[in-house]
Amino acid sequence: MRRLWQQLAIATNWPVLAAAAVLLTLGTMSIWADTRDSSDPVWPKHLVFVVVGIGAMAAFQAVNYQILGRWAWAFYGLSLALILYTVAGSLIGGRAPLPFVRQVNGTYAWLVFGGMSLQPAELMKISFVMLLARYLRHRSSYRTLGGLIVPFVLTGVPVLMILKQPDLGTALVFGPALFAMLFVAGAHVRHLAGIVAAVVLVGFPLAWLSGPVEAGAPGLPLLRHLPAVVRNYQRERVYSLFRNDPEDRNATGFQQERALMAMGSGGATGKGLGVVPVGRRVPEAHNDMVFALVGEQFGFLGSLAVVTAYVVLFAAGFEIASATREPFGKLVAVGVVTLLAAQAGINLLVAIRLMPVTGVPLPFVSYGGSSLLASFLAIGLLLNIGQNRPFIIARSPFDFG
Amino acid sequence: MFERRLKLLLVCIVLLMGVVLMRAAQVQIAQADQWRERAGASMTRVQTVETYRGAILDRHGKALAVDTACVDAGVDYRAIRNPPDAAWVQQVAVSRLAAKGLNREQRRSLLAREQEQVRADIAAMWVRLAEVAQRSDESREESIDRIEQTRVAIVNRVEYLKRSLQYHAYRRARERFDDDADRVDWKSWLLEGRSGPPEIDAFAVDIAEETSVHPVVKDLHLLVANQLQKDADRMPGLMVSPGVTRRYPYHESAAHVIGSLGKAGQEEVLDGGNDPRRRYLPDDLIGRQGIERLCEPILRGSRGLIRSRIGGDSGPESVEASPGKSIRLTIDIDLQKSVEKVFERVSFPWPESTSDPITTEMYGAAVVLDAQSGQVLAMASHPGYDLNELSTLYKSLSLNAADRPLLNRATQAAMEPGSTIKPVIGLLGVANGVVGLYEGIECTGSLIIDGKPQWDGKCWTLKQFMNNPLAKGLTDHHKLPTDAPHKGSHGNRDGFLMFADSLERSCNVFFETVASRMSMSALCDGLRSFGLGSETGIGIEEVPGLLPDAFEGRPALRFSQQYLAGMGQGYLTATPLQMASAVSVIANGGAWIRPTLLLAADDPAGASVADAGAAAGDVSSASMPSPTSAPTTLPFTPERRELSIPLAAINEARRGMVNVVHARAGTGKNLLIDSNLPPGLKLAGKTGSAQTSKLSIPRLDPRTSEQLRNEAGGLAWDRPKLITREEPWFPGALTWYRGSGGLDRVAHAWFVGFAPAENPQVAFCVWVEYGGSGGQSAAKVAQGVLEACVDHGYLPAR
Repeated sequence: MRRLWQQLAIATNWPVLAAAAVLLTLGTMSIWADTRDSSDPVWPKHLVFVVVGIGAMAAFQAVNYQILGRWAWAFYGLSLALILYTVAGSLIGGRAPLPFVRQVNGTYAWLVFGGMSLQPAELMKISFVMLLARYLRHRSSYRTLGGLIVPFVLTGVPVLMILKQPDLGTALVFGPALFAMLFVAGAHVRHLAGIVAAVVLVGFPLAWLSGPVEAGAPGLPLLRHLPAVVRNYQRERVYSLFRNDPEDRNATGFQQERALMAMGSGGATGKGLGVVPVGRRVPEAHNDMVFALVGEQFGFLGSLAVVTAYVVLFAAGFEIASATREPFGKLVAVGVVTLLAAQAGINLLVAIRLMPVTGVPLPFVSYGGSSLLASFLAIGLLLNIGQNRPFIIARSPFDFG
Repeated sequence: MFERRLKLLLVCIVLLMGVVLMRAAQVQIAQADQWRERAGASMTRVQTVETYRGAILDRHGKALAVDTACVDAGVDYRAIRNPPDAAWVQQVAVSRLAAKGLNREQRRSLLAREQEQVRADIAAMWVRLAEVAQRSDESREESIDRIEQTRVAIVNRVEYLKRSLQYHAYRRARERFDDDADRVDWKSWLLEGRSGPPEIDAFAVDIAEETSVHPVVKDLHLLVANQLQKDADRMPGLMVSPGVTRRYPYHESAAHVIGSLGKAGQEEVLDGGNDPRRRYLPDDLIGRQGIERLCEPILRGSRGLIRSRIGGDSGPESVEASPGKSIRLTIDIDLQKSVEKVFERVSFPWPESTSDPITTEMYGAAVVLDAQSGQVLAMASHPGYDLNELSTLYKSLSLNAADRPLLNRATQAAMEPGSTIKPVIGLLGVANGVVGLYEGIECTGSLIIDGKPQWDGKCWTLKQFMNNPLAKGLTDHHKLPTDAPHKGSHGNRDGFLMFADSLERSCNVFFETVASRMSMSALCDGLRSFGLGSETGIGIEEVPGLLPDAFEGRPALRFSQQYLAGMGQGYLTATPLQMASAVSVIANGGAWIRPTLLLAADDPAGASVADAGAAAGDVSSASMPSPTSAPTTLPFTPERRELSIPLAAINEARRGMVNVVHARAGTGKNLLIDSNLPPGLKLAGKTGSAQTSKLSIPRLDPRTSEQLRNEAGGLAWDRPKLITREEPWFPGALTWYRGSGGLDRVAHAWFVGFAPAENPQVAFCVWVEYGGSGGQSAAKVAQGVLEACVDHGYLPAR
């Protein structure tokens, strides 16, 4: 028994677990604070998710990740199928177009089973990282521009489908993960930079400008015949970031304004555990704006704790990636950490009003079963990689000299 | 080896987190105060506590207008909103189902239907309330309309309250953290909720009024209240609750003086200042007329505020409501009532007839002043109306263009004063040196200017005999009555009439001559010094009246206006209040005193304004508006003007006016006939019979109250038929509209005077609308007024 603990203590990456524990604690306290007096106190449900998540994490940690890796195509296929099923629902429209598909907040991102719901896009994140890592592990084709096509297709298909649900926030985290993995795998920086430049200089303006006038686009010739990519409410969210119009504040900027009030009123040391009078009036506080709840309860110290925990988590993740010489594991670690970092980054930037509202949960902190499950699976993989470092007598991977 | 790339990635992520941390530091440390302020404002709930309006008391402290408890039918704001608040409807439906003892499943299945039922009940409740509120003079539809308007008004009021509190919070924050405070467009935002200054929505507040009960039908009859209470289950949101209504215990008495309340409009709402305790909200009551309007700042109370923070650690802060202060009037309500009663039964003979007196209700006004101080003891305008019923009756009262009950005849009706102006003209003549105190002026029956008799300047006595061929060439008519011929006296040997004699006999020619000898400006300045031609400044609604220099016709006619003013005709009009005020100059020995309705603070007649309302709210803090100091000074500027008139002239005027009542040739001697006045009481008076135009009544549209037009496109008028001796009654007759006997002429009757003559205590003016001869109807009313003064101790009873 004692040996087991000792082994576990050596094998497990404690900083990762500690960081996750800090984030989970802060998150649970915030969810409790936000909903304890409400008609639907969801914090017990959250605790159930945490337990389920820990189970899933343990499961992903127990089996060697390389065995899991063999199932990458299957995971990817299953996730994509589920997403396609929801997309089919969104094409039909209505409140409940297909069995298990429900319209929630104007999107068809969830599959609903009785009282539980699952967001296939969250599963897709993990599946995608595993598949991409598996695809990239022993190749070098991506060092040519043409070789980048397959990784981009593998990313693009689920991203486009997720956008179709539509769930912009979830779709946004795929990009950083893709680029980080290609970057670490050794793709030419000029290729990646070129693609980024093309997206920023051509893709973004094209997406912004295309579509008919009814969709809010300027209606330029030719472009107005293209399908609208950006939706009206998304345009409004971007506008509201730059305009100081009360109409906007009411509609879209309101959430951020209130979130900042909650955070700011927490001051340096916060109002104390469970005291969130302002945060309670932030719409969706325990989901997208949970950072504000932490900030109101624990002040700047709370914000510092969240940021520190993430830095520890990500640094430990990169340490694992760095220490792993096995290419699949290394890429999965990078992908998983980048996913979490991108998700946390987007959520935090929204909460502090440096980005328009997108609706991404904060990993380990926000309420939400699917997201929590995906996050646990992610660190499950990470710990798995960290404790199964195969000793390979070979040149280090991706060493192209 | 791409380990460097890993490190690079990590550096990127750490940088991102660094940005987050710096922003967190900015928001939570650097700007914490600002965000805390904003959050505080958005978390504040403010409840207002309405208060009482100060009472209006008479000079002895009897309440004339007072806020009184009543029973109101109120409705929860969530049911006032249209459509009703969905969450609240659901809540009501759930509790109804729970009350039926249904289990959870049954409740769930019935919930939608029950919500529909609740909505239907709310709609039915509004119809029921409309029925309860229906007035006798309106149809069911009108009543439903009116309730609907009430509903909209309450919503507007609450929305406004919400916005103004929000704005207040916003502005305080701006003032604290920003340099430029005000925005130009906030007013439109405040009133209509249109888009306005940026960031203001962040200060949205919840107010208790959004979930509280608002009175919809005020002052229910107790039986109705009981019935509503019984059916309360079927009327969601209904609450029969105590409220406050303004009551007028003396009903019609002094209604025009007390005035009325109306609902505050946009102007008052915007001009109400920044004080949240005294500011007007839409639908607030505000004094619209009379003393209620004049003393609005004193009478209006300061509402209380209870400000609580949602989830805050400190308890609610509150500022107590402070009721408005009471006002004391100089009016003696018992005297006022007696004076008003006089008009209800006036007994006088037909004009130019001494036989068959008639007793009838007459319209008009009477003003009784304290002769030495200018205090108004009574100010009657008949007909009046019951102030308690004003809101119900307002429409029919305002449409009554024939009787004009809303008009305060004492201050808002300026008429030709007729012969009552003569004492003033004589005094001005003496003061200006155009006539000697004992100078006789010959009356040949007509005014002679440059040797030519003026057709419009005939003496009234001549007019009486004009159609009598025997009276042609009558020259010494003022010897009438023949047993009291005028003889020369006071060094006047010619036997012509002097000032006092002319007053006694009311000789037109004497005063026309005096007026014609003065310059127009001297005449008018003199009249102005007696308070004519401009508002007296008493504080309630009044009209200035006209002076002859306002005439802008041909110069030749302008001169005739000047001498016509000598007998109070033509371009000279005055209100009864102005005439009472002018005659008190003679009574008090030569000073014009601004008449007042308000008892000054140091008046020994009673403790007054100042002590009543020193206790404002005690609780205050930095974030709460400080207790308001409502104004305590009376909205009245006293004025006493010593006129440069020789005392001897005043004494002559007094002598003449005493003779008007007491001498055998006096025109006002009817005052003493059949009177209960103490025999020793010496009176001074002056009659007036002012010829006027026939009554023309504008024909009004009953809906818009605007004057209708006739077929030709001109304004439509009704010209009612006169009641005459020959035809004393016919269908549709206006009993108070009487012709002057067989002659097809009409005149208003006046009587001014003071008593006791040697030591004047009261001065008065009586005006009887279409009363014909001042020596008849007005003298009779004056008799009643003076008897009332004796009864109530304002004149000696021996």
